[in-house]
Amino acid sequence: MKFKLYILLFVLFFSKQVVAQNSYDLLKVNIDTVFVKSNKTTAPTEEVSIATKTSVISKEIISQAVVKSLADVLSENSMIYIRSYGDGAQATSSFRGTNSSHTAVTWNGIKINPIMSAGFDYSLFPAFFIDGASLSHGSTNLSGGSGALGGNVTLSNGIDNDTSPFNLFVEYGSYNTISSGISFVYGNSERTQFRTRLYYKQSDNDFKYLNKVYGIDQFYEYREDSAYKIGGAMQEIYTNFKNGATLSTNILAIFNDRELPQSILANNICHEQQDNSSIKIASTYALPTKTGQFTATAGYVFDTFNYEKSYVSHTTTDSDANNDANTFIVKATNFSELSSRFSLNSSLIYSHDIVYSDSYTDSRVDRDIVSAIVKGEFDVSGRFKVDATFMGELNNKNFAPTGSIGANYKLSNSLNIKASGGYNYRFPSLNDLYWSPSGNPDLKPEQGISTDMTLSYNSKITESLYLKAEASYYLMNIRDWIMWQPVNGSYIWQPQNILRVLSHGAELSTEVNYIFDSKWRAKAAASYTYSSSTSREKAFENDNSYKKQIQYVPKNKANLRIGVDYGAAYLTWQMYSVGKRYTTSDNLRYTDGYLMNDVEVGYNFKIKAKHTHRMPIRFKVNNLFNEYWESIEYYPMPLRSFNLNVGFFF
Amino acid sequence: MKKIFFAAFFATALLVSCDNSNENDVNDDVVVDTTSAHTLVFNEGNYGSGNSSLSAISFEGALTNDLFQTTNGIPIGDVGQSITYINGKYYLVLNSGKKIQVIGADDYKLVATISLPEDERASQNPMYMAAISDTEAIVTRADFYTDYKGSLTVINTTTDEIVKTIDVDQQCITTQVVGDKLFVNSPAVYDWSNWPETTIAIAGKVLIFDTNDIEATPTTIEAGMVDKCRFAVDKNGKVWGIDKDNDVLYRINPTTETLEATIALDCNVDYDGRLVINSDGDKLYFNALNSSYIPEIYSMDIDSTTATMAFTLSDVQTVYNMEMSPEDELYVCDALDYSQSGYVFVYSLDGSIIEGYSTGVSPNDILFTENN
Repeated sequence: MKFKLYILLFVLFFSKQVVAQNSYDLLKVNIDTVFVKSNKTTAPTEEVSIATKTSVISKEIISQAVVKSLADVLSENSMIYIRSYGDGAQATSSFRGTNSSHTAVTWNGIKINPIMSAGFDYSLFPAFFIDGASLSHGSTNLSGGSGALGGNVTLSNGIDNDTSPFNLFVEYGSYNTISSGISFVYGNSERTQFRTRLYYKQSDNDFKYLNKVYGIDQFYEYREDSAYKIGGAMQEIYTNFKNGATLSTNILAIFNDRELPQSILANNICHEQQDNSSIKIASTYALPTKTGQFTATAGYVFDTFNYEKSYVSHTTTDSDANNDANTFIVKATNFSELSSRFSLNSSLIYSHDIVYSDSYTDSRVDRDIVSAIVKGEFDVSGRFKVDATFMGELNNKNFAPTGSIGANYKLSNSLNIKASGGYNYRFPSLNDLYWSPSGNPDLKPEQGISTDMTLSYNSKITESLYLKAEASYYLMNIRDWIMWQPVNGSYIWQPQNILRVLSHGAELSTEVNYIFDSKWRAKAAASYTYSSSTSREKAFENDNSYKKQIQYVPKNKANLRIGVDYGAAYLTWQMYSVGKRYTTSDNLRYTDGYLMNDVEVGYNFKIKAKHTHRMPIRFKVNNLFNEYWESIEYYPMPLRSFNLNVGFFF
Repeated sequence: MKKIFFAAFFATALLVSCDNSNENDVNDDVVVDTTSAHTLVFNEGNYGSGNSSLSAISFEGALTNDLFQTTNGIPIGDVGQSITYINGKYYLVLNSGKKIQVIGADDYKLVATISLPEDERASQNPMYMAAISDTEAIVTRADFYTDYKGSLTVINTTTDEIVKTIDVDQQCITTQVVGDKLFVNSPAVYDWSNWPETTIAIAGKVLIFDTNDIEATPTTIEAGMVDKCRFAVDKNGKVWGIDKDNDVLYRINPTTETLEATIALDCNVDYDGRLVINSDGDKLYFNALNSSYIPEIYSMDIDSTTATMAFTLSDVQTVYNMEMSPEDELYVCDALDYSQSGYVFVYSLDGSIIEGYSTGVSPNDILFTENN
């Protein structure tokens, strides 16, 4: 095993070097140039397979969602399904029919999935702290290491010097929701630039709804135990060196204090609260070389949470109350164009995890992960490119090799087809391994073999009409899927490798941009995803979950966003729909789907002649038709709400 | 082009409709023939998911699932624990939901919802009920996560309102009324932190209350009992219990309120072990796990001192409850993996399987209407 790793390490840095392209280059699928400047802060393209389906959350969307969480942004604007207990409450993802631990989340080059549970809570990441967000669909993006069986969410930061250096916004909305953020850039853009961001949001979140399910009579009530506060600060430092190298450092601290709402079926006499805090640091040094670019990243991630359950008479702290998780990461990447047709991208990642938890058998748990990744890309004919990625990962003493291959063929100037296949795996989370008393140290990694194909059309049809359309199909077979199961002869539940899941589906998306004249512009973006994700192995003889859809993985999800600009005014209509989700593994019970409508109007007042001095005012109606809806059964989401947002850009 | 765009835009908006109906989704077409219900099965559901349900099996063997939802248009609640017939009504106790749904025995229509108050006992979940007079019943309560104490909450079964609550120093789970004695199972509390090694943190007890003076200090018998197992009453009026901690059966004399027999068992009683007795009241049945974790049924005459293995429940994945029907057929609840609809298997006492019914998630409690 070690011999294989040494071979990979050897290959990693054995490469000729030529001049590099910018590591933060624009993802080529992004056609947001009509309305906003291209996003320079997405993931380094050379780390992602040329055949990986990638979608970008546009900067326009991120800037409009500045008070929202990443959960809202992804739920409304991506093909990922977000499963949420309510506004501000825990929100996890399902990507291509997988569960939350199968989506890798990276921020400025480091993986930030919580190491204890592996499933990322998107409600704890305000969109205010994001400048770029992109999704890699499927398991072929190995840039952050293993584990991304469903896909990757890549978050990044960077200063766009074409925008205002000083931004301030304040927002007030329904349910006493108050948000504010400030961001200012200072320093010398030629040498060292700094940006500081501060953010705070709080909400009583006590919306009124008709409880139709509690008892004999229907009654209106206010949502209880759903208030939350979230705040954070971020410091960015970007330095340019004379030799062309750059050093970027991002330090992000977020705190969150939230009540945990109960099911509306329960007699709510128990109150739960959770406080989360996190610190994330990523520092990346990028050095242009003769053949490409060398990048070194060092990172640190700290997550802690405290859980309390309280009653009128007493407050109790659960046994898993205090959990501190630390991850130290170093990553070196070398990109080399060995010839005009062949390039090699090599990465070595080392991370060390330390968890202090009352919930584990040992109060301190350590884990070392070493990943070596090599990706070679070959331009066969100018229109036809292929690539192959190999990765070896040593997780403590367990070695697992993996890899993927991809091909990209340009059928015409506007039509492209690409296909990929790969093998990926996810090592068990630390909770799976060490949870007291029933963590299972004998768990094997979950293993997934996947393939997908994407046909894309991207064209400027006329001088004023742009059209982009994309259709993908994927097929994925995941073995040794980990489930917590009751142990015979006890009350204990233990994680076991028991499921085989077959996931396949289609993803369709289109974007149309039309410029009517110098004032009128319109844009529409729609996406639809079909995800069939079914259990393909009986755990026991009468197992009726066999060949049934995995719980809370919707088969259908669709988004539609229509925007109209008239000069400095705009109107955006956002629709997003999720189909029914099964709540039991035999699919006999389900919660209904929903269709939400949000409308936003805004106007950019110019304060001075200088175009960057402006005062945008936005008014948004969420859940326009006041629909009762649930992401999780019996946990209602807010009804119609209003937000007024005023910004100052200098 | 501009006109087409705006037409499409607003057409899309018009296509969106909303349902603000305040009506519950009651299926008025469902005719529930209450006289034909032989067995009611209260399915626990999943914690926090609100998918408890009520199933009915007719005398002819026809199964009706989601009886409560169909009849009332609302779900029952969260974590169905027990069903009890009292004065023409069924009391459906919701454990983590901390409420009791009361339905008419003749039409299954919801007549009351009893919500436990937000008081100093809010951490205690309601568990089982028993009538202690013509107008009053108690619901046992237990705290599983904080102080492991319990209580008995007295409910007026005429008005379905809470009368008072009597604090008990231990958890209170299953109950049995024998004459004017109320037997309450206060099971052992285990320390699982060193699993697979387990230790008893609080020893199990049987508490005997006087139904005429429910607030009087109960008699305490030092005998453990499987936590959700009901007591069995034999033809002589003696009360039997089963102790998982020591793998013993024991007999209590309700008159003297003393433990009068303890019988060692040569088997491994399940944590979800159940003790039942036949209709003649002379033969006990209980379940245990063999070394391969396959559930087995043991039996013992009440006058004997030795239990023997009667048959194996080879069709059952996870025994979650077991009750003896008035026809001396053994109804075994199979919770499978707790994430899907479970089964109720009907066994004859010679071990042959008579029927299997796919009920709701984690079938938890069984009531035979003939015993009403």
